[in-house]
Amino acid sequence: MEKILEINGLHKNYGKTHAVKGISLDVEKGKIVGLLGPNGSGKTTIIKTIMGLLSDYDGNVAIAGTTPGVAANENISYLPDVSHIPNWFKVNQAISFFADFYKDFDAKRAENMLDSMNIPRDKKIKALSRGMQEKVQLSLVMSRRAKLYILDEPIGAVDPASREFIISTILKNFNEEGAILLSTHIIADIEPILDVAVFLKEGQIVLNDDVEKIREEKGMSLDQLFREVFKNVV
Amino acid sequence: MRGDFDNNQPIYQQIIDRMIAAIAKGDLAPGAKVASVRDLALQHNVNPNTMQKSLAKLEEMGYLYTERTSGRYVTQNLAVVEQLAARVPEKIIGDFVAQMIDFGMAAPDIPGRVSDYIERMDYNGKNIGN
Repeated sequence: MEKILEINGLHKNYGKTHAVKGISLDVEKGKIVGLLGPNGSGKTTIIKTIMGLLSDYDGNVAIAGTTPGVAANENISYLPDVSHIPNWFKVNQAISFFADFYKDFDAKRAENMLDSMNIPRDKKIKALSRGMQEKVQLSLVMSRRAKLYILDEPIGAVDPASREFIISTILKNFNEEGAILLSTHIIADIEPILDVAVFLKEGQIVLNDDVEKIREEKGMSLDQLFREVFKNVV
Repeated sequence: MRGDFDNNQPIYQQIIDRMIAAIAKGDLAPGAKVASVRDLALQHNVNPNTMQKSLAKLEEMGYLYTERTSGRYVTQNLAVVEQLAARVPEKIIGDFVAQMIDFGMAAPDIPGRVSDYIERMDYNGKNIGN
């Protein structure tokens, strides 16, 4: 299997605080991988490293064979947990911004998605509801034909009705030539779409397994297992 | 047929059960074309690899077959479908009886409860109460 993401012995400390303690993780092509753990478990540090935002770390990281940085980022479509689109942009300006910025952006796809949600193109992003803003952002991110999609807390702030929409948007637009690394602490809604679950606890991987295998072997849902593993933490 | 899986059990197995029931009931007719993995995954809101696994197992079991160029179809073997149609009610009854016993009911009391219930039903199968 082709590896879209390879992490080997990643270690990162901020002064005396060890945020990530020597983790290794592969993400294979065509897989949707959940990076699961409570706040402070190291999810954000891992994502920042992949995105090339941290340079002083130990270990090796490669995205489609390229080390983190500008070149690697061309292959990554990133949904941050807080909006990265200037909120004074109108929706159609955000579309052209993405079209200018990313060679692999499919504007037609984004427009179709936004139309299906009846999102007015001439409205400023800040005039949209919080849920709508998240949908716009996800539509833009999923309209790229990237190798690696990193979705940081994609359902964190939206109401349960919008969650279903977001999950089906992810599935509908998932590029099987790529892979998705999805970080969340809300497991129940997301678990039917995950192939692999990675549990992060205090900067270490405590579980990395096929989700269906977990259900089969333990007779419990990922959500239940998560609560069990993290019962003293969350 | 979408969503609402029991996340405590492997989802591919639940999809297999649902599709077998659909074949047995004739909702998926013999020889009918099965939607693509991607479309089915979306319909059910599950991971495409999970759906792929379910379809591959159903194929192994002989309920589906693949035409190399045009896609997947429901078996045309009517004997297989009839056998299934006979097996599904058996399974539903089995699950129901097991649940009733688990609830604390004695097996001999179950038929009486079932006929009482059926007597209170209208022609559409809706319970109209006492």
